[in-house]
Formats: sequence, structure tokens, C-alpha cells
Amino acid sequence: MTGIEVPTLGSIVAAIKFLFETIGQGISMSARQKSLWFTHHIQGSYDEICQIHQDYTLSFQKCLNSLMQNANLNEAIQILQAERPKKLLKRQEVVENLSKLRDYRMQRRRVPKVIGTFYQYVASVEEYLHSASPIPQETWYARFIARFTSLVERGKDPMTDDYRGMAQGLDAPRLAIESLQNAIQTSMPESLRQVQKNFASLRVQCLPNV
Amino acid sequence: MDEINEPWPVPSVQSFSLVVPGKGPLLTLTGSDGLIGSYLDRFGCVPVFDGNPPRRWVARPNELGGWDLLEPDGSTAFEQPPQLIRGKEAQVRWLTDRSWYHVGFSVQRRLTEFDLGEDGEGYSRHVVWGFDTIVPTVYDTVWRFEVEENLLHVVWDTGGKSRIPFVLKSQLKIGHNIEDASLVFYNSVLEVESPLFPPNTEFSRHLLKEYWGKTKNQRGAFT
Repeated sequence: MTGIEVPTLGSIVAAIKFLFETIGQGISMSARQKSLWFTHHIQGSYDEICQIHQDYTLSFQKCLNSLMQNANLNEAIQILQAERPKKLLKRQEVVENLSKLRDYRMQRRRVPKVIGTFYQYVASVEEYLHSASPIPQETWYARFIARFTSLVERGKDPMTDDYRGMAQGLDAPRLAIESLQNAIQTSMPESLRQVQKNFASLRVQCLPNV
Repeated sequence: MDEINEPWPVPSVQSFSLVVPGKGPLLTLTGSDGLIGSYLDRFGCVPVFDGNPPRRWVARPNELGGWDLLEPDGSTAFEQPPQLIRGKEAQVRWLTDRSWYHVGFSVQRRLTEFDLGEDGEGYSRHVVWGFDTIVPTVYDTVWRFEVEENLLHVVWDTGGKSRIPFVLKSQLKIGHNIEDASLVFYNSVLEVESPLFPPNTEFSRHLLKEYWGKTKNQRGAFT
């Protein structure tokens, strides 16, 4: 097991739907509507991102430790093979609602401040999910992971293999380790800080008296 | 024409002869269908730079399905020299009748544009997409403006004022649409001393100080 809960981005989808379906295209919200919107949807989406951050940081750290110590490699393989959080962005409902929000924002007109902030919040969440997706399967890492897995299954040392046929060759394990380190130490925390900043700004605008 | 041996100031193509069995030699053009089709749709002819030594030609389709190479006679849009737009009233009309874009190459997909309204309100927007992202980062700002000849006075919505000298020209400019290799035509150039974003915006420091304009709701002044 990877220890990662299965997130859905359901709250963000619900928050966007609330804007377009409950409030309507005019998007002029009363204080009560803002408060409901924040409490019922935005808070939940933020909690979900925090949970994703916690789960994936722990999981990537475990994988990193295994690779660096050349131990518990079966657990590392499970984590390397697990889907990355940016996969959530491919769900049809998520794509449709993010696209709807983008199209609204891309119209040439003044956007209410709270909607502008919500848009920035959603953009920062998307950015975070990309940052939390190191060693992506659609790149050369797919071959690295397949080769790595095969070596472990055959009882060979995957850290000293020459990864013949891959441009990265002997450097492949080191590059994978660096990618994980960069995600855990730099890109994930930095992207999360943007999410937190935008979330805080939204909270001030939606719950001014709290 | 002095510049006949200079490359066209717009993207051009080359020609070559094909021998078609039963039909004899047929002149055809290199270049993508998107590029040639864009020129044909817009101007009915295509700029060619070819020969030994290479020189400018204008290619027009003929009835046989090939092309005729013709001498440039100064009548096509891509032969028109830039013309300065002078005078406050003409400049205001020229500026407000067009949508303005920052056109350049970047690794990331992006859009930088601005618009001046007849009511004295301006709008600038800078949009950047990350790799594989759905929701781009959007920076936009609204401002008030007044025009003096070759000088724009701007009061930013975010606070502060700018005084931006400019040069305005009627000039054909052509961009490539990287999605389908077609061409995008602009009919104006605005050169500014500073970008049309508030002075403290970080990204605007790296922008070119030239915007290209298209007539609003029209295909352009050269049609």
C-alpha cells in the first residue's frame, strides 16, 4: 500500500458549480452566499489539498529513503508506480469545470475581486498538483520505473545497473532521486505556500468577521 | 525597385517546377498549406523569394492549377511601406479602433494584449499557461487614459500614473499560429517607451516594447 487516500477534487468542482449554477453568470454574491460558499466548498477543497500534501510528501519521502538506502525497494516500486495527483486534473468533471471557470475569467471584463481571488486559488491548486507529480509516467521515467521494477524482481541491484538503452544511462537512479528531492524540498512546499496565500485571501473576503 | 533583391519583410515561400506526365512543367510553391492558404484567403497572392540570384516575386494561382510568378508592382499589401499616424485625433481613432497584442515567441503558451476604449478606459491582460495546465495564470488591470500626440497619459486602477511616449504606424505585420501553421495578420504597430502595465509588474520588464494591432471586429485594414 502507498498509504495515499484517494482524493477527488470534488470540493473544488462543487465550488465552481456553486458559482455558475447557484449564483449564475452575473456572479454577484451576498455576504451570506460568500460565507456558505467558503464554508461548504472552499474550506473542503483546501483541506483536501493539505491532505494530498501530507500523504504524498510522506510517501515520496519513504520512496526517497528506500532508494537512497537501497532497501525496501518493493515499497519504493509501489510508490513509483502509483498515480500522481495531477491525474485528478484529467477527470472529465474536473476538466469541464476548470475550463468553465477559465472561460469566464478570460472574458474581457472586470471580474469581482472575490472571483479573481478564487480563480488565483484554483490556478495555484492546479500548479500544486503538477508540482506534487514528480517522476511522471509520461516521460522517460516510465522506462526507468519498468526497468527498475524488473531488476528488483530478478533480484538484481537497480542502483548500479547501467540502464542501457536510456539516454540517462547510469545516471537514471540519481536523476529520479533528485526529482523526488526537488519535489519534497522545493516545488511542493513553494506551490503549497501559494495555495495557502490565496486561500487566506479568500477567507478574509468571504468570512470578514471571523 | 531597390529592395527587389532583399527578402520580403513578411514570411515568404520558394517556387519550383514539377514535370507532370501529360501536362508538362507545372510551377508549384514550397511552404505549408496553412501559410499559403492564409495569404490566398487574405490577399489572393503569395510573396515568393526565389531565383538565382534570389529576388522578390508575387505568385498568383492560374487556371491550370499551378502558379504564375509576377513582378511586384507595388499594389500588394506586403509592398506597402509603413506610414506614421500623426495628429492627436487620428491617433486616438487608430488606437481605439484596434485590439493590441504583444507578439513574440515563448516556450510557454501566453497572451499579452490591451485595449483602449472610446470612453477613456483601457484594459491590459497578461496570461500564461504552464505545461499541460487548464487554468492559466491571469494578470489583468484596468486604467484610465488620455492621448496627446505621441504621448499616452495613464492612471492605473492599482494606483499611480505613467507617461508613455509612443510611435504609431500603419504597417503589415504577420504572426504564425503555431497550432495550425496559419498566419495571423496585423495592420498596425505601436512602439512604446514602457509596457502598458503598471511599472511595478515584474513580468512586464521582459516584454518587447512593441505591440501589433488588428482592427476590432474586422479582418483588417488591408482587406
